[in-house]
Order: sequence, then C-alpha cells, then structure tokens
Amino acid sequence: MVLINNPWGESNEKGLLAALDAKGMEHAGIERVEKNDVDVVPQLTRLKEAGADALFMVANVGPSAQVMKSLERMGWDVPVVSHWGPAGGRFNELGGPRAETVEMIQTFTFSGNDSPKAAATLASLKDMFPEIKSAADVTPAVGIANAYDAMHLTALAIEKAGTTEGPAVREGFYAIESHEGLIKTYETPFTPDQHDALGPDDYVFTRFIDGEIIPIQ
Amino acid sequence: MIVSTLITGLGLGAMYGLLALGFHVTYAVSKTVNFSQGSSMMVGAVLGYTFGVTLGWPMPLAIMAALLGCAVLGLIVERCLVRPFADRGSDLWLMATVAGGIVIDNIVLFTFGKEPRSLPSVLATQPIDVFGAGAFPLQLIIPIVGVAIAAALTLVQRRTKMGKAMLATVQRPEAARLMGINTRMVIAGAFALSTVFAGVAGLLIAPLFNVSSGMGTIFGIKAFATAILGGITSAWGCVIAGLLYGCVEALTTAYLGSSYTQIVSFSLVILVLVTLPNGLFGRGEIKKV
Repeated sequence: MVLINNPWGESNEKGLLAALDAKGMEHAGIERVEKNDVDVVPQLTRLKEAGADALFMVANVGPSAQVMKSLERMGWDVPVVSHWGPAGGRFNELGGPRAETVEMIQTFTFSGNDSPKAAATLASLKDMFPEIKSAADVTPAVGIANAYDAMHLTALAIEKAGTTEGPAVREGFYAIESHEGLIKTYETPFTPDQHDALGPDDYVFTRFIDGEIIPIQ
Repeated sequence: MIVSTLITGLGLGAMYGLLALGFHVTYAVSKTVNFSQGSSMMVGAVLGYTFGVTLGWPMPLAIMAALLGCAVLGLIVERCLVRPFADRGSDLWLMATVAGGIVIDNIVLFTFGKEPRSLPSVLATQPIDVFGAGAFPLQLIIPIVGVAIAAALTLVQRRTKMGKAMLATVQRPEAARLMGINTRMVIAGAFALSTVFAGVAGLLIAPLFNVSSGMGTIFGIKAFATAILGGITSAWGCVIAGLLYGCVEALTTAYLGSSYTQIVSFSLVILVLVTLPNGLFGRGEIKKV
C-alpha cells in the first residue's frame, strides 16, 4: 500500500487491511507519502524488496503523480490500483507516461456512458461553464456524480420528511422508493440495515487515456 | 538500494541547501532573514512555467525572466517587510516576512489556480543508469549547481570588493557608510540574491515535482532547519547541512520506513543544536566589550 500520510490514508489502511483479512491475503508493506514528497523511490524500494507484486495507492493528484514518476525512475513495472484521488486534476500531465497505467476505482465516468441523464448533465455543465469543452474537462467526474446524486437523494428525503429535523430526514431516506440518478437508478437505496446507496456492482475500473478517464473491462 | 537512496537524498538536500544559502546571504549582511523563502522558490517556478509554457517563450529567456522577477520580489520584501522594522531595531521583520509569504502564496493561488501543473524538461523524462540505480539527469545536476553556487558565493565574499562591502556592512554599518559603502544597497542586493537562489531551486525542482502555489511552504521550513543545522553564518555549512539533511531523510525512509522520516530528521536538528548551538559549521559572534 502507498498511502497519503493523513487521516484519509489511515482510514483507507483500516478498510484495506479488513478487505485483505476477509480474503485471507497478506500485504507486503504499508508506506506513507507526504503531500510535498518530491521523490518516493525509498518508499517504493522498500515495497519492491518486500516482494510487492501490485500497489494500492491512496492519494490526491500531486503525490500520486510523484509515485508514478518515481516508478518510472526505478524502472519498476508493477500494476498500480488506485483510489479515485488522482482523477481530480491533471494527473496524466503530472505523472508522466506511467500515469496512463494506473487503474482507478470509480463509480461514474462521462466517457463511454450512454445514459441520457449523463448526456444531459454534461450538456448542462458545458452551458454553465464555457471552459468545459469535453468530458475530459470535468474533473473529478466521479466526485461530481456522487455529490449530485447525494444532493438529490437528500432533497427527496427532506421532501418526504416534510422537515429538516434529523431523525425525520433519516426516515425520509428510508422512504425513498426510486430515483433516477446520474450514477444509476436507485431502487429503495436506504433501509435501516443498508446505509450505502452504492454497492459492489456500481464500481468500475478506469484509466486516464489521452487526458480522459475511460472505463476499462 | 543505497545508491538510489543517496541520489534521492543528494538531489533533495541540494535544494534545501540552495534555499538555506538564501537565508545565509541576508543574515550575513543584515542579521535578518526572509522567512518567505519558500514562497520565493514557488514564485520562481510559477514565473518559469508562465513564461515558458503559458506564454511559450524560449526556456532560457523564460528562466532569466523568472529569476529577474525573483530578484524584484527580494527587493520588495526587503523594502516593505524588513527595512521598516530593522531600522527601528525591531525584530518584527520576522512575522512580517512570514505574513508576506502567506500573502504571496494566496495571490498566486488566486491568479495561477489551485491545480498543480507540470513544467516539462528533457532532463526529467528518461531515467539513466547510475551504478545500477535509475536517476533522472536533473537529479544529478541539482547537487552540482548547489555546490557551484556555494563556491561562487564564497569566492565573491572573500575575494571581491562586493564581498568586503558585505562584510563591512554587517560588522560596522556606520563605518562602512563613512567609507562610501551604500549599505542600504548592499542589504537590498543581498535580499535580491537570496530570492534568486530560491528561484533557482524552484526552477530546478519543478520538472521533478510540480508547480503550484503551495509547493514552497514545506521546503522553506526544512531549508531554515538546514541553515540552522549547518550554521547560518557559513555558506558551505548551509550547503553541506542541506545535503546531509536530504540524505538523512532518504536513508531514514529507506531503512526505517516513511513513518519515521520527519521524526528522525527534525530530532537530528534538535540534537545538533543542543550540542552545537551555532550549528555544524557556524561560528559564534564575538562581541567586544
């Protein structure tokens, strides 16, 4: 694991360790990167020498780019799977040629998405922000989609509750039957036992190709 | 692992050393320092990117223009953030330069944008083999530039009239003025030179790192630690301490793990200062009574 050295990285470490434990797998090592690390070869060398055969990366654009540059410097051709953190900016410009090999886990992309809702939202974004010329200019699409759907689901819950009082809104979330969102059409997204409207089937792997985030099979 | 770790450490350390030289230059002539050195480094990189990439100027011209911009910034810092306080015998220039750095960072944030950009260089694209370890050519050039600048500065300080004027300015400002030395200009020149050093560091590190408004903050802090570690009165001390500090950081990360890097490197600074209050190569000031 290559994790940003902050509470975000720590929370992902707990989740990833639990996932590895559930699969009965072990990790080769856990290394931290700082926001302003110029060169992370020492951390990556430790992982390489510990026998890592793949890296899981959790960091934003800047540090993720430094990881990819350092891999290029080392000449270490190792698969890198990443949180969607690098999707939020000019990762392919900053990370050099290796940036395109990173597989990011996402819940949404505009590219390769033929849903009418996605097309309408992209068109609205272009109207509102003239600097957006194509899907490649909407970064991070996944963050926008998650926030967009969360806001609409929350509005629905408040409408059903008829108040903004906490417990009533919670019941309002449970009362949502169906909502056509950007990521998917939500069918009874929340129940007392299910507080995450997204499940394993909603995730896709993506790569930066020519500056655009493309889903991969 | 050792070769690749030392390449990392020397490259980073030379950068800390270059910034620390900036602290040394101003301290050597005025007993003041510019705590916005990290921001000056960032300005060098941002101006280089703006002239070379955004405006498409030839890179040598863009670099010269960026360094000129840094020199002007140094003059402004000295005139507005240091001189008014130093003339009154106050130490408030310390807070003023810290605040000035925050102002500069935020001005760049609003004008340049929050997203980091890449400053392309052929020297940071294709790694070369160095004793079995990969290294970008620029990583090997940075320590050479750091040592060359320290050597040139020492030569100027010891062998030229300008160097003697700098020494006279700090030792006896009144006597220096009576001898016809424009002490204000010497001090202003030292600040310009210090921000140019920071600009050089910014331009050198940008292709290996990125260009963004917040890039200089942590480098500025570490460079000051380096200047104190080496002895702020010694140009060579600053550079050697920078290289040492960079190597300690890289070796700690490589052999103990990245969780220990900041703990070990800053503890080393504290340990040295406890045992050697003037740093590794600095000399205590002798006061005649």
